Amino acid sequence: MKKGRFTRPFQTKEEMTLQITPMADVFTILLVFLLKSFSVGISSISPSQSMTLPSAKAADQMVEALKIEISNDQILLDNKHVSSLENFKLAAEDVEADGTIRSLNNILLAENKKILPTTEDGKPSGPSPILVMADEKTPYNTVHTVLSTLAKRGHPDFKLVVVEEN
Amino acid sequence: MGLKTRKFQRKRHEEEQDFELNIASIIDCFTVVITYLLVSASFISLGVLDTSSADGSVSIEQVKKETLELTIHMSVDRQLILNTSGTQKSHIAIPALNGSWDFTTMNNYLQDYKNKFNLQAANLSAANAVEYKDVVRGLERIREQIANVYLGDEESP
Repeated sequence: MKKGRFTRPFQTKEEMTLQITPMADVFTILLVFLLKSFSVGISSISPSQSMTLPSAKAADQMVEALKIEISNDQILLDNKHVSSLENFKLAAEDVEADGTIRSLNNILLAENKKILPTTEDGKPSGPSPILVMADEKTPYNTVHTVLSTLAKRGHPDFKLVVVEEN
Repeated sequence: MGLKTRKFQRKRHEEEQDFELNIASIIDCFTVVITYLLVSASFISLGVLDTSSADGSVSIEQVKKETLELTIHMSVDRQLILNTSGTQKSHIAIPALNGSWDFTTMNNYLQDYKNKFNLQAANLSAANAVEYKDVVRGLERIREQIANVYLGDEESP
């Protein structure tokens, strides 16, 4: 009997098995990487989705500090609503005669005892820097008004948060 | 002798316990942890630029200590205006270059001032409508020459 052309090819049953071992390898490496990049504390300083931070070559180190956010519709101080904005512009009734923001003034007056660092005697130990996170399209007028208000309430030093350029 | 050896080997084999490592539960844990970390991870690196308000008393005193008081103003038409007072009074307007800020020319002037007067501080201001990203860019470029930059009033000097 000739072999070859007319013989039915031998059919093998292929069983699919899931190889879990290499998946465990991949997961382990991924987990190690993510754990390494995960940090508690400073990771809470992340911009909201609607905000685009300006980019720059940052020369200074990020620190844990009070955070103020300026977006197109509101100003937040430590994630608490301070003032509403309309397309980055402050409401006229919210701006005092000296150019400071009334609502921000009120909050700072109330919160300064908690915010300002103090010595053991309870006296202020010095100005504390404030992290400023503002959308890149914010007009300078609004930014300066906010910074001026903070400066007049004992916070003249700022750290402008930027996206680091490589 | 051979039979005793085989009995001994069989017993040793029976004493060895076969066990199976159930990887499925490990995968379940890894999946949950990795999902959480991916959601909470931040894939952009943030940095900070130190500055101060020109309204703060410390900054005013610092600028006054300088023999030359320098103010850099960023106008709406992308002009950079350098005003100096004190030892040397001058008013220099650097026009826009190809529709953009000419920070290179500005830095040349700043380097000159720094070499002549050992300038350590300067004020930066901008017109109301100038966007924050441009101010940050200007601040970053000025800091290449001058260590302390203070953000001042938006009115043109």
